[in-house]
Amino acid sequence: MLDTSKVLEAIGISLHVSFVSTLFAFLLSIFFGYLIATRKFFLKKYIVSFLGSLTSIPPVCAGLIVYLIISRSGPLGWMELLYTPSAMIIAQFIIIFPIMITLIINYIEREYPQLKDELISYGASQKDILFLLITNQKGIYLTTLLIGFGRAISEYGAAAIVGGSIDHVTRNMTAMIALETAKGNILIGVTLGAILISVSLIISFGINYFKNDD
Amino acid sequence: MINLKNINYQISQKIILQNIDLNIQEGKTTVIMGKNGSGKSTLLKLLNQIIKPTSGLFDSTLSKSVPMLFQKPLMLQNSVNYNYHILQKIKKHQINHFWFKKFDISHLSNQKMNSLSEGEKQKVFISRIMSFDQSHLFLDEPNQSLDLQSEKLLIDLLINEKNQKTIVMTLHDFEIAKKIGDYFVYLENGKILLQDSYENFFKKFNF
Repeated sequence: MLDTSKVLEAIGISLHVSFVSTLFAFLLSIFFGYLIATRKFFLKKYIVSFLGSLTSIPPVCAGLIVYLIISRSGPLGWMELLYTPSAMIIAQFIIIFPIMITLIINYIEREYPQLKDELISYGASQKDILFLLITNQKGIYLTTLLIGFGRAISEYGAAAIVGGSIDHVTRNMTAMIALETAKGNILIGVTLGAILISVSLIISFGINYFKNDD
Repeated sequence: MINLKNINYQISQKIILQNIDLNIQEGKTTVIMGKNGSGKSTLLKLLNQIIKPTSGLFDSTLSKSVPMLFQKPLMLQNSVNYNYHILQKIKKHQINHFWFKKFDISHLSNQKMNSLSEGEKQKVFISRIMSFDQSHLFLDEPNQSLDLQSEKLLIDLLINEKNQKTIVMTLHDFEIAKKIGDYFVYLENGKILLQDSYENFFKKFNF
């Protein structure tokens, strides 16, 4: 039997963890993406290539790395983050940040030179240039948000390793689907899968609606 | 006055401009011509202090760059009005709607930029530059995408401005250049092959 309150709780945990990790990854991607894309510095080429190669990091490995860092004997063990939603946020952040920052660097590297030249002739400050870089192509940023969020909410391996799928605390939708399917409750697993897809689609639709509202 | 003496400009190892000696006279219209990739746009940006020369002596009465018409102008994904007013806000300058009216594009104010034709966009870009009433105009192929009627209007309007402003522009069309220019520069592979006043330039020109 499907326990509605448990499903709602899992949806809440999934949304909370994915929203927070996506938001942090997005804001830091804009900040560091802008710094990297608009400046010439030693090792830039290697940093961009490294970030690009991190886009394909297997989620389970990201989870394992975070686990080693925050487990009791790890360097950040004293923070007692293991098996908490915060640990899941960190793991998801590690998975989606390289994807989001790579997309943003590509966009800014393409747009910035021309935008900068003309805006400088108007006496624009760096703040003006950043503002217009963001507002002029809202679609690029919303797509980046959507890709990051989609990846975060559908992820299972990393969140399961560092979250531990603890009932009422870290059991998100993907963990619940895996658990119910493993128990042989295929119908419940499929129902939960359909709910997860619906939640993702509603959010994607909302973001796409704003993206196309130009 | 803008004075360039033995100016060189290069990006990484690629030489874009080489040994440029040029004097832009106040109140005159200088037309820069040359084939694609000859360095016309780069020279225009350099004259307007958007980019700095790699070497050579640069002297200008302008203390900083002024709004200029680029070959691919900045198009903000919003209304025509927004494209004016956001730049007015950055420039902190009241805008003059004279060119906007002359080009008869007032009815486009609330339309999205990406819904306009290339010619309409170009009229918006030209009007945007002209709306700041600056003493120096740097125009990179201002007639591109314009129909014949609009091109004629542009030339007439620029001829009217000639005596009050210092104009530097790049052009491909020799007939238009003859109508508007006082001084002509011909670039090839980043070097000035010929520069002279109207009569002398066209007497010598045989490229």
